[in-house]
Amino acid sequence: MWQSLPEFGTGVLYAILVTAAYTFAVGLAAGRGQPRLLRSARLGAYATAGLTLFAIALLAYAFLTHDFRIRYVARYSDRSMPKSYLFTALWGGQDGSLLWWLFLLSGYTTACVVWLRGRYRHLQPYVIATLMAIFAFFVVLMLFAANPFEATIAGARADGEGLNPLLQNYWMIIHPPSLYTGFVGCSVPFAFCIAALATGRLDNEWIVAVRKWMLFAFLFLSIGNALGMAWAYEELGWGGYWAWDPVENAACLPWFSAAAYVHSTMIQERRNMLKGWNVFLICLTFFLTIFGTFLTRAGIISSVHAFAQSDIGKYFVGFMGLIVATSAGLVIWRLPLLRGKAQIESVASREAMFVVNNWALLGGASFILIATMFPKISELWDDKVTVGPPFFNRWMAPIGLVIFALMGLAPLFGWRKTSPEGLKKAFIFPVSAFVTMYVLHVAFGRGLGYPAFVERDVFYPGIVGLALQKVGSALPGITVALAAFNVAVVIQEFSRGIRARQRSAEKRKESESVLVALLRLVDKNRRRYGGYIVHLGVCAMFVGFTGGAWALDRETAMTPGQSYHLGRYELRYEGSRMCPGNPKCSPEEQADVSKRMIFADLTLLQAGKVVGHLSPAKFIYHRQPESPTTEVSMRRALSEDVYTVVGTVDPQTKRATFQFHLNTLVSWIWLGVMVLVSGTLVSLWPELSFREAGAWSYLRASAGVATSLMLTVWLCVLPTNAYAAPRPRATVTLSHATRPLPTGAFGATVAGLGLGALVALRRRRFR
Amino acid sequence: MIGLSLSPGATRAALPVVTIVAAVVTGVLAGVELSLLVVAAGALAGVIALLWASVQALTGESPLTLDEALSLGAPSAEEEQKRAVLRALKDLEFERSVGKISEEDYTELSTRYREDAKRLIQLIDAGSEAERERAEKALSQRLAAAPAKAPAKPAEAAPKDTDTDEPEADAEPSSPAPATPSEREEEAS
Repeated sequence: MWQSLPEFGTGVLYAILVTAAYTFAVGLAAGRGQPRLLRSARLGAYATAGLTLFAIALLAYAFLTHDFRIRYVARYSDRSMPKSYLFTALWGGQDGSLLWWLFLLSGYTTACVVWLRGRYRHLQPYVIATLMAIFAFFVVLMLFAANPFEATIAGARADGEGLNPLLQNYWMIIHPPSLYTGFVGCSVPFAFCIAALATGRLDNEWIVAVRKWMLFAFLFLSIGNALGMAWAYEELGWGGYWAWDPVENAACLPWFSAAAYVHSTMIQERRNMLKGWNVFLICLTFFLTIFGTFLTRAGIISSVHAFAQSDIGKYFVGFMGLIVATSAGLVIWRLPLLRGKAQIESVASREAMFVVNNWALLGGASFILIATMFPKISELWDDKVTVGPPFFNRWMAPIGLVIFALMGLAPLFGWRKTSPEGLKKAFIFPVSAFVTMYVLHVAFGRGLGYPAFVERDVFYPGIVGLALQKVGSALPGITVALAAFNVAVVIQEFSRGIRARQRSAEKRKESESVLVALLRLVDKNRRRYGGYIVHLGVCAMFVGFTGGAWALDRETAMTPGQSYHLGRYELRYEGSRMCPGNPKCSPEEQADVSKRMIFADLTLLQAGKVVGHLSPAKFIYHRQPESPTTEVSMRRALSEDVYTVVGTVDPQTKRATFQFHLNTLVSWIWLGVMVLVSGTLVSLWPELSFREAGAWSYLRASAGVATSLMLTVWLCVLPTNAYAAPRPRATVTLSHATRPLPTGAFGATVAGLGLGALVALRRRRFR
Repeated sequence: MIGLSLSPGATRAALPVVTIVAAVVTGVLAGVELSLLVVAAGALAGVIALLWASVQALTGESPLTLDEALSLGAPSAEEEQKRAVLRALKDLEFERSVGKISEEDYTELSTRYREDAKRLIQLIDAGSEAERERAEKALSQRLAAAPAKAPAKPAEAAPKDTDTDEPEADAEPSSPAPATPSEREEEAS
């Protein structure tokens, strides 16, 4: 066993299982209140996490040394792959991604157990036991169904099969880890929830404990989904960013329930209500992360994102059954403790608005879930029914509008009840903004190319179809007006808070400038005002989504020298070239021997002036010539993206078929995501003063968040090549997607990570 | 012979620091592949040490640390409710300052919350009366038994709270000092 890496790796997986089982048992025993057992469980949790680090380091070593004795390494890498993609291959396939999941869980477990030192004494044993149970499930899954260390049956090959070309790009390096970080992050709140149920300590204690863990998971669910959209937009080449693919849908489901929880937790904290509901939302969020993983991996629904079909589905079904049974059993046991004494006293209260908002979010999630599963469900009694993007778009539009409207309404109400005068005062400015924007949009929108009404087809016969058609047609105007309403609400909330601070300062015979008052206001109420910044980000995203109503999608065939008009742009086809080989190819393209690249060069003109050059391409990888990849070339702007795709190129005549898309306001989505991330980070920023925490502890906590911030900015703002190899120089200056990675940003991120790691090494309890 | 003593924290940090430094040096000198093996070796050494310590703790061979002993206290349900009420009062003050609640409603709700807080604080005090008496008795016994070695050191003056720029929007009703880390965290937020 010790001479063979595959067998040794498998042995390490067994060791993780044994350690996790030991820690689980000791953790449960520690629940009786014996401190030495708790100490033992804590050390056991660290050891389990350490063994997982050992396993992932072994697999990474196998990839880097091309150890094709391991089947997974042989299947997802080859000798020509650069080191960065060899690391990507760790999560590029089913088996390795499960180990990657476990690795992230080990990171969370370590962080959680370190953080728990001296905190939540009664919850700790059960938190550790729950995390160990999740560990055990994933190890069992790997050992019996998807072992990343399994040996190649016929012995080591000379070379591997290589990673799917679609996965060999920047976005796939960062998208899966971000999404997994969000998914796995939901394990910690779930563990606290189970611990609260097991101990019966269901008041605010566990709610306060999971607050930041849930926000962190929400942050990475948002980033992961956004990066998935960016990958689909730039790599799949179908012109859009969201196709309501089953795996995309599964990835966004926990986001909905996490967003609902982030709001409903405030009700329990302030009013001691909705205890059962919060337990339900946490359990649901965790369940949905496992369900999403099941959908991606079990192969029950076909998707471009799905892993190969395998028999791990039954394990997931068993685990999901265990989650439901355990959660439901504990909830029934603790039902008397979950019944809140307080009640919603008025419809005109913030808690009432939050409850409606929760139902709308869960309604949206339920709709997506049922529609996603419907093709599979329909097989039970009839022929397979297909549910396509138009169906989702028609129905999700009104649901999204309700959520968007509620997002703006809730902050206008106070807790418990709001006086009619207060409501009148709160509504005047936002409603004025709504009406003004709507009137302006109707009056000037068409002239500017963004009409408030865009006529839609009737999708269904009857009154429902007619209603959907009307809503769909009026959607652009209403959404933009609602965005104005929401922005006005946020401005009003900030300005009221600033004025309140200034009045308070005046009473003390001091003065406070607007900027100082703003900074102090946010500093003193980070969660509230961080949340408002998140709302601003969501507004920008909704405006970006609405841009789809004004988008242009065209297909054409052109010969060199011909031009095509797309909105206010003109695209001139200059000709095609194959690299390597063509003298017009850049040195990087000439040097790339892993594939043949067929570029169709286009010149982009606006009002007769050249504004850029685009080179959409087809890449044919020598290892997988049967599946050529589509390489998009685009020019980004805040108002619209000119998005070009080449279909076929006749090698004799150079005649090429193209897809041209004028994607309106798409950049607003990425901008919105960045604002959302910033707002979440404001909420997450440690709320400790030097006086209570000590300078070193404060620095350590701040460095952790600063590191996350830098990493996030690096991930979101500074994308590099979407190609597996450098693109032609002509395109480099044009497209945001093809900008080379700034080394300064990379250096800053590494420095930030280093600082975070160094500071984290110095552990000191807050005093 | 010069004695070298390291704090337990430094000892615990030594292995990760040595592993990271060794991995970086190996990575620079011999490539990423070998540095991964160094990381793996460090992780394995750590796992062995942790498991050994875990088994020792399980069998009762290692004593409980002061931190662990101090963390045994946990807030009661009444304390949790008290914090919720205090937080609600804080929100109420904020909403009054930004004009979201009428003066009449504010007075009614504020009175109700304050009564709740008072009742809960009394309950908590009553619950901890027996422990307090026991602690005071143990302390007085200890003080009586201890010989008067040196005059008591004057208590270090608590830093004067000069942070008087808190606006009305941040006004928080006075509350007992947080006792546990979780309580401190709640108060901080």
